[in-house]
Amino acid sequence: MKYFVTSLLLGLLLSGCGSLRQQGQNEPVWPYPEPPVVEDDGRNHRGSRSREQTAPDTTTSDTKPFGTRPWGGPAQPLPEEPEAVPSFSGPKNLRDDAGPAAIALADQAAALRNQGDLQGAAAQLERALRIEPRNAFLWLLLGQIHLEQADTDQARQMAHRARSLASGNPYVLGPAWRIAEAAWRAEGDAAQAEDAARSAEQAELSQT
Amino acid sequence: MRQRLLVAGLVFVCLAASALALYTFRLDAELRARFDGVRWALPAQIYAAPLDIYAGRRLSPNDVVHELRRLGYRARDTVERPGTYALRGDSLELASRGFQFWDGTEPARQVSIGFGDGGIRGITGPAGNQVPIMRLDPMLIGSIFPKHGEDRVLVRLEDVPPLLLDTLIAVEDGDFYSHYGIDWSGIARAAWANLQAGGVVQGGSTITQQLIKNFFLSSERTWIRKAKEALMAVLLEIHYSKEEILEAYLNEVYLGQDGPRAVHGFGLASVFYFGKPLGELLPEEVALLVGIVKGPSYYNPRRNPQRALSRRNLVIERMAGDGLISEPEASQAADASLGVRARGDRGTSQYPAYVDLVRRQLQAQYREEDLTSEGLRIFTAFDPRVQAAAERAIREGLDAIEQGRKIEAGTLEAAAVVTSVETGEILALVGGRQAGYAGFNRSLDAKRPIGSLAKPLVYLAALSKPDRYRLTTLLPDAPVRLEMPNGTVWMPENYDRELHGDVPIFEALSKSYNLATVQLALGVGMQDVARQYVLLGDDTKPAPLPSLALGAVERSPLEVAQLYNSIGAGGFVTPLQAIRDVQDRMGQPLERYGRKLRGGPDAGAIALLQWAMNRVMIDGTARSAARYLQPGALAGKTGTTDELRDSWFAGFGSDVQATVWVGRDDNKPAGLTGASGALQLWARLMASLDPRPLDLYGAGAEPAWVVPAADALADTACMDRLLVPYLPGSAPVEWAPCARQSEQGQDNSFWERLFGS
Repeated sequence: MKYFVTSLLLGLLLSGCGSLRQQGQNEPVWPYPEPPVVEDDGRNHRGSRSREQTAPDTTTSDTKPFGTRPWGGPAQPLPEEPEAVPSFSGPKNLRDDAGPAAIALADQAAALRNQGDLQGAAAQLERALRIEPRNAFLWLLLGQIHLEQADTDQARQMAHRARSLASGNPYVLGPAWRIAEAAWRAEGDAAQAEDAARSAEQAELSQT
Repeated sequence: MRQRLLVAGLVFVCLAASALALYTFRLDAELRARFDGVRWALPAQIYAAPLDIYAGRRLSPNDVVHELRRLGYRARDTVERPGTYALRGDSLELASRGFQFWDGTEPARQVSIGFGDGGIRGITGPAGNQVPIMRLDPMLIGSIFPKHGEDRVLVRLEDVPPLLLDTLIAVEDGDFYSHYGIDWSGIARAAWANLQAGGVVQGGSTITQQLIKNFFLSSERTWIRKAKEALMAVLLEIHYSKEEILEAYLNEVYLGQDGPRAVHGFGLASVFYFGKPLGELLPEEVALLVGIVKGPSYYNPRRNPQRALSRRNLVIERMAGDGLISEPEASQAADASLGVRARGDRGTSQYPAYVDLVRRQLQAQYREEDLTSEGLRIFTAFDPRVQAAAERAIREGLDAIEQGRKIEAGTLEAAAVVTSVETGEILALVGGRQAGYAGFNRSLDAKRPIGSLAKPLVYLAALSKPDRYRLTTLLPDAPVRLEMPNGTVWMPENYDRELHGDVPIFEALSKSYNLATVQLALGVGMQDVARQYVLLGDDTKPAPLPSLALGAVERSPLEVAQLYNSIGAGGFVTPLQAIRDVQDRMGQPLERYGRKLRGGPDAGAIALLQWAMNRVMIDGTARSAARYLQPGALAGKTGTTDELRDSWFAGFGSDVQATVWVGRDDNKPAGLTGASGALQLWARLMASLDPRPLDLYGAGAEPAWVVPAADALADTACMDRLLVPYLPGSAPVEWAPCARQSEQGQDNSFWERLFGS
């Protein structure tokens, strides 16, 4: 249960990105129902996948950018309210934290990513970062794109950059460590991946 | 005998006919190969960064209007046609042009931009809808054309205003749509004129013939060439439609000269003469371009404005005579001035230093002939606003220094590099005092000793060891005598040739004390100092000699900008880059140069260093910058080399970094320190860029009130106390003698810290 709640909250981070799909795979990875994954890597899929697949998938054919979704709303129906009241009062996702211009560009990035155009998505996110260079959520999104492009080094660097801007925000730290975990795993470094996973779990604990 | 002659004659005629047929065949093949294949060698076109417009951006109406003028937008009462605007108080009506960007199409928009609170308040579309973000079309800042080569901007026939087509045909080739490549009546007229003159003085050339001439043949005027031209014109008409021929002509025709660059085609000519795209030309501007076709040099509107004006008005008369424009329009057009941009104006190829940088970065990946012929579209981070500020700061700053210090006018040179701290993008580049002229690009090629600009790297190496060094660790500013491996003795001195006793680390940096710095470098280890260059993104690790501590290492302004940008970026290193992406000639994306991050020095150590470099501005060697700007939360460092040959300053806010060098090309002493030379230019530049402040107590550092000279804690009883950041666990624990050393005192200091007193 704890893991499920964690997953849901992780999902909130990239709210609405639920319509998006990872290039080359059929499982939606935004919002994160599980650690982000890279192509050609089958080792890091966690137990939540089967649930993800059986969840009513209303999103896969939805090509609308995530701006058309309710703000902060997850793609999957909520089976129940998260039982814990969040103690963290800062921004939990991009929509909490960015201005309309950056959000509009992130929406475009999401649409491009949806079409499989990861380069185009990265270009829009970089444009958004020129407007809000210290927005940790934008760095996380760009890190995720790099992960999907199998550029694990840059994925990790951007997650690191996001962490440096997190000011202790667990909604940044959790996904940042998940990206790092996936990058290490894709590189075959199980020990580093485990370390990152532990840091992620710790951050996720303080999300509730 | 007669029969044999006849046979021989027949054979000869047959042979001649076959030869002509063969020749025609060959010409035909040549013609089609040329016309069907790549028609033009298209130089790569280099674009500035487009201006992003969104609510909340700190841009004044004037900033936006300036940019619109640079792009050739016109102020109009009614804003409907793309490329027009009207400024009404706090509201800017704008009809933007669309543009095919790397990452998608920006549509042409009709919007109203509201200003207020020091920036853009919002963008409203025609239906009252809010537009979250839009961007203007990017300015063309240059192209990579071969030496003495042709440059052009391709246009499609459907994008050419009908008025231009009709006028061109009326003036150059009235029967264009009905002839078969050759206009016999025109030729007869020309032949008569030529016979009378006893040589070829006039061509009765159709547009088709002119195209052939431009395409294949020399401008030599002989009967043979004219015959070949006529033959090819007919062949061309057989194979291709009038529209294809006309489009080719519009892009091929020679319309002017810009130094080594030949201006071909109406697309580029429109930018070259009027600074705007073809679709926005006014009738008098159309008339001038069509008029120039007859003799681009003779009717050069910049050099021979009177001739150009009367030729233009002749064309306007023709336009009115043919009913292409009304009589009132014609008289209005004839009354208008030529409207050609002045030579000094920023058109294409006016930013040679930046274009040079782009070309060098591309040469690593593309072959020279691809750059000059494939029509690549290169999108850069170049910011015309920042470039203008940098050029002005250098021009005015150097003039002021020469006047103020009685230095012979025009002997000083300078270079500047401005970068975006967060993105690592190169925003502006000034290669010399006369920024608009291509030549020695000092920002890239002037590799000079960096002097005291090297010191922050020594202090970074030290502050990265928080168990040994903190900002108030006391250093002996005492004589140094080092025997070098080659037997010489190195005895550096302070600039003021005095000794300053024990000084806190940050003060040794802010006052730029040589001896204390060398002592520190030797304590840290020269290998460690040299390693900082690599950590901060330098390509080559310098030799770990003690003189490195004082900057006996040569770097270009661009290389210095990399080091200082990395210090400004707080622990993450982004390789400096100018190019964002590349499209092919059809606008298809080819390559993108995405953001790259690299782990750099420890973020905590960088935060401390930034704080110390802020002291340089507050009460160190750069305090005179206060004349121009609030140095409150900027950071930087002066650099001066032996005998005052090089004057450097490099520094940053949280968003923008600038490196400035001042010196002489002959390497003679310029007579300037970093503070009296480069800093003055830097401060002018930064004042106009309005940089964002640094977070001087960030990155996990813990501030404490201390007495720096004692490296001990202070309370309100201490007169000379200062709030200094320390990495966790590394602050002093002893109380200074002046402190009351009570719990209350500690509480008080905390209390006052909150007040900021």
